[in-house]
Amino acid sequence: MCEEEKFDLIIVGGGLAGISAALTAAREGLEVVLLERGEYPGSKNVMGGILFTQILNKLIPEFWDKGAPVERQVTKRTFSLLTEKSELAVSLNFRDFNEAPFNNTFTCLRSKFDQWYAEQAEEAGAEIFPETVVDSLIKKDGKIIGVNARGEDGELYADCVILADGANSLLARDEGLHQEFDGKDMVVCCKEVISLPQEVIEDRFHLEGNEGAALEFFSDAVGGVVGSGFIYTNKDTLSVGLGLPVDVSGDKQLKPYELLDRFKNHPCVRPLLRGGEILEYSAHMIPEMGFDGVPPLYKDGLMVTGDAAGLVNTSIFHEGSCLAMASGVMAAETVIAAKKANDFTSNTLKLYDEKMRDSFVIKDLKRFRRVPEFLHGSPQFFGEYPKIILDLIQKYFTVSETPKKETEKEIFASFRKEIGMLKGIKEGYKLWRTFG
Amino acid sequence: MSSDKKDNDNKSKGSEKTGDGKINYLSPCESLSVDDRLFRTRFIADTEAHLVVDNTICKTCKDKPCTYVCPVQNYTVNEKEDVIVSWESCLECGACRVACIPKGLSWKYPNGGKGICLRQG
Repeated sequence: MCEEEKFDLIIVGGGLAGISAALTAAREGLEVVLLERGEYPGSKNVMGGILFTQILNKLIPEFWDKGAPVERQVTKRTFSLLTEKSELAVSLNFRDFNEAPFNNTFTCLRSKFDQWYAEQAEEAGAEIFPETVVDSLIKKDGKIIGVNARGEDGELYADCVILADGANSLLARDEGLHQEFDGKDMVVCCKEVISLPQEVIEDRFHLEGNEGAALEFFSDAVGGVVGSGFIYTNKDTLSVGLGLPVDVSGDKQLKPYELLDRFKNHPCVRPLLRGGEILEYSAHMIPEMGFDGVPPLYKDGLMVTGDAAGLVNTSIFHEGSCLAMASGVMAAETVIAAKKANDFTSNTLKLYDEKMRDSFVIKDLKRFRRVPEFLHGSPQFFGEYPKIILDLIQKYFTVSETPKKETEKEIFASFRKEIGMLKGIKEGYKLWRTFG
Repeated sequence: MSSDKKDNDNKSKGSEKTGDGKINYLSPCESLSVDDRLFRTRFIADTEAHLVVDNTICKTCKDKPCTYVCPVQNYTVNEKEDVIVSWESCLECGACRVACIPKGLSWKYPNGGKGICLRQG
């Protein structure tokens, strides 16, 4: 391809951010090409399993009735602290979430969903080139003007390039948008898709019809370090997995797949998985650097979106998919504005940054900016404290001839000995300061 | 002896099947070795390695975090203390690249369409 016959927009990466960008730009009549390194969009894509759909529902209203391969709407969420033999859970079950738009929360298997989603972009006029790896960007006078695709595709040119190449965005790093990734900010996750009949899943998780459950487990679920395990109900499979920071895995010599087996065999988890057969095993990284790790989002001729820009809300909400989709849409809207102005330099592309800062994407990351530091600097909240607290609660609920008042005294004394009043208050304040 | 073998068979298959071929949903969930797990995952073979280790650098790395973080245990140390990487069964998560602080690993994506090809995701 020569520089004269160029596209309006090249998008690198066929995930949620890239496809959202392709769909948005193609609908406005732009000549868009999306480059996907896998056999098809979705073939390399993994997430735990919850798709947050507030943006999708704007792009494709009532997508759940239009053939979108989402699995179940999440009406039930559970957050559990595990110790070796115990569980303390908070369970949410809101019936209103079973009404459209289903709280914008669906379980989802990405290889299926992303294929369908990419087809919607294609129907809108976007071109999709699968099996195309981009090794570098082409620059002219400091402006990005195209990409170098590996193999016979060679050089491809466009007015503007959107990077949506995921957590391992080597292109964003090579452009100097961010430094080399740090192991404390990157969570390595492994996951099994486990097959069970639909009725077994519905009985076991107390679900009716297309309702779904999302269960998250902390502490002993990942060997008492920071991280979490999860079970998400799909139609006739479960997504079961866990994640922990790369540096913790290396430093503590914890192997993710061994932790996953241990999690699956936890006495509070094992009965949920009984009889299941493993269909597929996969792994992925989640960028969890938060607000302070978000790189510059644009430069002349280039914007960066989704995981490639570290757009993951690391808090209890664990939202990434909707941030990716929102960033893709806003990047595409910016290209549309740039095309009208016929200016693809930072002067126009800064609009993307402004839109992002004005939206929930950057506002939510900022709201929880202290979370990554807390996760990394407070191992006691994931190992030591859950154990102490669950032991005390177990003691409180143990039936015996000891008068309750004496038990209460004992528990209070143990708390003072194990944690201490002052430290308890300080640590409580730390929690409140981070999340409250 | 024969009963031992039967136990092992059940273990490797995970969920037991009853006489009429139905799955017993009271038996434990399947638990597979890393290799067996990989058999359930689709790969399209590439012709060249996308992961290459430089053992002159790896020799200087005491902790070898790559041997822990990899979700499929693709990094092993042989008797000569060299790090060996089985790139063919890479899940392409990138954790090894992040963990490799001495930069003894050259990591790139496999060629277009090659490598892991997920059907579920």
